[in-house]
Amino acid sequence: MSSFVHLKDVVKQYKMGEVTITASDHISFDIEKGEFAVIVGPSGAGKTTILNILGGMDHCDGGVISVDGRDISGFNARQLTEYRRYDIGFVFQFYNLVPNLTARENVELATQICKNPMDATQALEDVGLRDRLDNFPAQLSGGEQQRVSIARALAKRPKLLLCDEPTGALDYNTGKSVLKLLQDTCRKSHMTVIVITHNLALTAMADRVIKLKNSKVQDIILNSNPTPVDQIEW
Amino acid sequence: MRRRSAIVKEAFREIWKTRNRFLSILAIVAIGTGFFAGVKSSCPDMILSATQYYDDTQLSDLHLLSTLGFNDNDLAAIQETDGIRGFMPAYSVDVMEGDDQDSSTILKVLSLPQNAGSPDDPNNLNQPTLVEGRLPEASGECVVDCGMHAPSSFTLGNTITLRSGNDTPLSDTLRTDTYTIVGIVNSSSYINFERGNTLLGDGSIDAFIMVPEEDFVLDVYTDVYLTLDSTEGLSPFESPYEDAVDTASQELESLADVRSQERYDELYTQAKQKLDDAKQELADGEEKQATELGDAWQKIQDAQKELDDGWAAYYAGVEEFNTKISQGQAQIDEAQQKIEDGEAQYQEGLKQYQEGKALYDQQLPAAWEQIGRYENQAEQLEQQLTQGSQKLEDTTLLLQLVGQVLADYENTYIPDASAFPEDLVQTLEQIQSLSSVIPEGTLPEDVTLEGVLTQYVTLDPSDGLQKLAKQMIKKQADSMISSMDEQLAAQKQQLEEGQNGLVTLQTGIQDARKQLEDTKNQLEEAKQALDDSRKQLDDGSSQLASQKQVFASEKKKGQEELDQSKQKLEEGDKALVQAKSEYDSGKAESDKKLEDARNQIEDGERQLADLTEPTWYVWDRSNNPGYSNYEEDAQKVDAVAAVFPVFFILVAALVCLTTMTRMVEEHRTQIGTMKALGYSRRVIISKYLFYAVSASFLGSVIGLAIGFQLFPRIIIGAYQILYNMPDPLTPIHWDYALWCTLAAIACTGLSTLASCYKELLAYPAQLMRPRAPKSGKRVLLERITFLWSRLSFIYKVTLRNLFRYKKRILMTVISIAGCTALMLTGFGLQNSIASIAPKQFGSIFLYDGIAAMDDAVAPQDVSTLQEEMSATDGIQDCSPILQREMDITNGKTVKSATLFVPQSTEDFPQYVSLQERVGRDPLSLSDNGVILTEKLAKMLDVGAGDSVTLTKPDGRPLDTTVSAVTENYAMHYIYMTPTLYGQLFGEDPSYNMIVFRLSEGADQEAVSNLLMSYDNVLGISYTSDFNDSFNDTISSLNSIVWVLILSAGALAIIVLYNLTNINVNERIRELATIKVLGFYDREVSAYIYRENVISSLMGVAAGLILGIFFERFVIQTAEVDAVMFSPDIAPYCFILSAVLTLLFIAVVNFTFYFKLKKIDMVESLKSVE
Repeated sequence: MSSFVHLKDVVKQYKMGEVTITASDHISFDIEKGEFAVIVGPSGAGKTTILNILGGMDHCDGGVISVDGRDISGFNARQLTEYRRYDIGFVFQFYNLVPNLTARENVELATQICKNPMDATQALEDVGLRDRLDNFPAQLSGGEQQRVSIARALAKRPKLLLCDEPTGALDYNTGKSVLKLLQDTCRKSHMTVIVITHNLALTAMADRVIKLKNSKVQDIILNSNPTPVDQIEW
Repeated sequence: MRRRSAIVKEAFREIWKTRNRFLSILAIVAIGTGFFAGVKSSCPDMILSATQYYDDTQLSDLHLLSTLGFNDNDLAAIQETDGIRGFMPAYSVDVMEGDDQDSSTILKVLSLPQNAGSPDDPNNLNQPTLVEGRLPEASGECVVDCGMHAPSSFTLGNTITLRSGNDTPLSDTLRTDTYTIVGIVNSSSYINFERGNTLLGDGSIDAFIMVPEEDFVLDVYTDVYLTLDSTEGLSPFESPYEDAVDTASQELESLADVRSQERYDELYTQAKQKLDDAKQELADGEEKQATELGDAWQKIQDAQKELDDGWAAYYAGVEEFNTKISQGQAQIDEAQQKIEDGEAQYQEGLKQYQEGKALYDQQLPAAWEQIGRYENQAEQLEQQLTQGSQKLEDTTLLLQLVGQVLADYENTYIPDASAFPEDLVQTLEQIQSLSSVIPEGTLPEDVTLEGVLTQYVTLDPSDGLQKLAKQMIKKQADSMISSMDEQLAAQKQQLEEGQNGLVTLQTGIQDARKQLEDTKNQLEEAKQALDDSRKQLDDGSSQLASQKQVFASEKKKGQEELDQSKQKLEEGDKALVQAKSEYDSGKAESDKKLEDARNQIEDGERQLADLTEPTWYVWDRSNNPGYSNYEEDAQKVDAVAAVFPVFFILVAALVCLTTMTRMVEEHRTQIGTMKALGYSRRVIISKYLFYAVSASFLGSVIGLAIGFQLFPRIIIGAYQILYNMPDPLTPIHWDYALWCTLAAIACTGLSTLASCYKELLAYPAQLMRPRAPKSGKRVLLERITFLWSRLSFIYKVTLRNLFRYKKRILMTVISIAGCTALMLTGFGLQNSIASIAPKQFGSIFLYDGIAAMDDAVAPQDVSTLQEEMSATDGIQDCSPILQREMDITNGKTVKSATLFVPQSTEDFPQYVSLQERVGRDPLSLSDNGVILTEKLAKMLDVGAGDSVTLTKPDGRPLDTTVSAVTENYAMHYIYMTPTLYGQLFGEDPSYNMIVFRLSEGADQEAVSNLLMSYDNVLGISYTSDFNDSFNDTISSLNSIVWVLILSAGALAIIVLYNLTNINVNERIRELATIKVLGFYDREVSAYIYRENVISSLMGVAAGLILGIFFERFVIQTAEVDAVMFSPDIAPYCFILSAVLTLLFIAVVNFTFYFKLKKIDMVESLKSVE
């Protein structure tokens, strides 16, 4: 029985004219259910490629990716869409809220298409935005926007929460509180959370750290005693 | 230098990278400018084509006509006028085609000048352009009209026969009446279907033919065509040309005045001379006639006199003769009469005598017998009398004896009878003898008187008893005696009377005897007299006979004499009659001659009196219907060109503006970077300017290249169905090209400049920071909570988005509305035009055909014809009408319309349905006023109750009132009741047509043939024919409509594509995000489509409303005078334009499906630029 998230020899290459760039070079790792994983690496290490592939936004050119026992590497576009729709929650670096929708409506945008979503209001309450339900993104601070984004991802009750540099656009404290939210969510609801970041400081809070470098897995560190976010400094 | 090249390189790369955007700007500019320039240049191209055609064929600027033609002096005078470039005198005549009277094709025969073969000769005007064949080279050859109304016989090699349409024989005009067609031509004088009017037939010429000039045998030219120096190189549709022609025509008109007077004088002098000669001749003739005939007459008079005398003598002789004869005859007759009378008397006497004699002879024996009887009687009577008197005496004696006895023996008695005295015995004896006189019964039977008396005597008176018996006897005897006495007295009396009778009788016998004797004597006397007169008579007769003989011979002689003289006289009479008739015929002959001469003189005088100055008409090209219609049509195209292309350019400009603004906004960071790098504004701007200008310049060039060819060709092509013209010229109009390009470049360039400038005003740092995202806003609709809460989430998003990008949605709505409106206009126009014929000939003119009659058909013939027609197979019913062209005016505007007077106002609705267009209320004709058709009323700006003035053919104005305005689409009509016509015109309408309806399934041709066989029917026309030709004509407009529709569609597609593209690009992150969220492609597309669909629907709705106004405008400008386009737009037009617009939208949306599908989700991971 393989792990909840299982990558085996995943290869992804981009052809740019004559040049072939290998973005993922036989990447293999496993993440167990309920783990808080951090994929970390410098720019160009292939983090985004992994995120794309794992998030069902892109195909891999080789290898096996299975999530909750299902091999998604062979999925067609339709299946990938369904996979994104039902299995994945996505938290973007730039929140990617629809500016024309209120906080609650942005959450609803996701719950509309789910089979068994959380109540949008509940989701927002969970992320502590009870009072900002009817505010437009432009009326919210960055952290609040990111919380909306997280609420949007969580409201779908995804199997896997993918977070792309969730603190990248946030100031230190806000970033911390967002990370705390993610860690708490992981702990409380046993949600598998994968955070992609270039910030090595965040590795301390993870159950599992996957270090990428030059499109390869450099190291996988299992942290049996992750540090609470509050104690992390960067 | 390097910097420059980097910038340039970058600019080209930008173009390549965003080629879709570049191309869409290019395309939209191309469509905008192409349509604008193309449609705009259609009118100039039309004008240019015509100008070229006119120049090539040397169409005359001026056309001179004169009521009396042009003689050499006229021509010389015209030629001497300044500024004449080309001069061509010509002949023309209107004739009928075909040699049978049924053919009603009217041709205009024009002369081809001798120099017709040399196109460069400036004096060879109005040159025909050969379509087929060659120009005539010999007499009897002709070229014919290529026009659409040309008869079918107009084919190459055919021979056509002409005949005169009026009283003037054709040979007065043309050398021959048969022409071989050697060519088919077009003429720039006749570019449309109209061939002008004529006095013949139905008044409109059907086609022209051209024959060599020398085939005309007229003394004077009928037409003069001129071109002017001053018009050389001028466009014939512009005012300099018109001014130049006006100047020349004024000059010619003043020449006309002079020449008219001169010509009049010439003609007057000629005519006067001729007239005077004729008068002189007449006078001579009259004098001659007077003398010659006078002599002859005198002779005749003398002869007549002589004869009359002779006759008088003869008649006198006859009279005398007759008198004599009659006298002689009378004498003879008298004598004869006398003899006859005498004879008659004699015969009468003789007859009387013979009768008397016969009677006498016959009666004589009887008379004698009678006399004998009388004598017998007399004898008997005498005897009786004797006896009677005897008896009387006996009785008396008896009685006396008895009495005596009685008396004697009364107291005595002789007891014995034997003892009686003698005397007594005697007495007793006597008594006894006498006792026979005692009448029987007097005594009882067996008692005799003597016995009684014996007894009486024997009785002794002494004895008493005896005495008593005695007494008794006595008494009895006494009584017997007394009774006897009485009897006796009576007998005595009787006897006396008998005595008298006897005397009388005896006298009578005596007389009778005497009488007989007398008679006999008389007869004898008469006999003697008769014999005498017989002798006299016989003498008279013989005398008369000889007299008669003499008379007869004399009479005969007299008669013979008379007869002879009569015969002589009669011969004289005959001779005289002969002479007289000779005289009469001679006189009649010379009278006739003189009368003729007089008539001629009279005619001449009248002509001289009527001789008016000839009128010259100086016509410029505006009198050519083709020319003016063409100009009008060109102007109509220009009117359409005034709105639509502008609209296209406007939309194109707006789209370019949006696109460029968007592009500059997208490049915010880049601009900031470059600015930060130290590039000058000019350089930065120039990149975007280059982008914009190159797109619009290229678009412009492509658009112009296509537009200048495509649109004029389509539009002119459509009009060329109505005109016979060479292929249109479609040159590039550099002015339009320049202006369009400049406008396009200015539009995009300025909008680019403006956007760049806005961005460049900011500091680079600001620019490099991502622009604050446009905040979400609550839309007004959200305030209406109950409605908002009911909307699904997706629609909330859509609505918010719609309201967020107001500028863009406005653009979409405007362009979609424009597209829909254009299409609605197109379809509406098409429908309006196409529905004219069915409406006009289907629901307004309900009749199927019209039979035209001669103008002068008597009313009874009209009704006869109507009856005949009604009884014709295939005709359901029919009714006579009067139709006549007439001018109508409101006092300012004069329009020509057809007066339409139905004979029967009641039946009229069966043939023409008069109704209001709005509401369909039926109208009825009344005597209070006329009903006008809608377009006519509109052009005259009158309505019900207003007054209008009709112009009678003689020019007299007739005021009347408009009672109503009726729906009508083709031509103009004035409907009027016969009563009103009578009131206005002062005469009963003379019906000249019969409208009829066919029965179902009737064969038109068969009906036509039947109808044409009736007297007075000139021609038949069916509404279905109008219908067909009308449809042909208007189908030309359809292509213009399709141009409109397709252009509108193209515009809609490109605009929508462009805007959607901007929309998508602007929101690519959003779309990528929702894709990441797991939206299916379908859902992602729907996310965008919904906005498009809603804005498009708004656009369609707006467009449908806008289209109504567009259509109205176009219809008003494109409408020709004779026709009213139905201003109602059929519902299907709305549906079709909406559906088509939505179809275009669907096409655009469909193409975006793939584009959206390709959106890379990785975009969502990128930072906000």
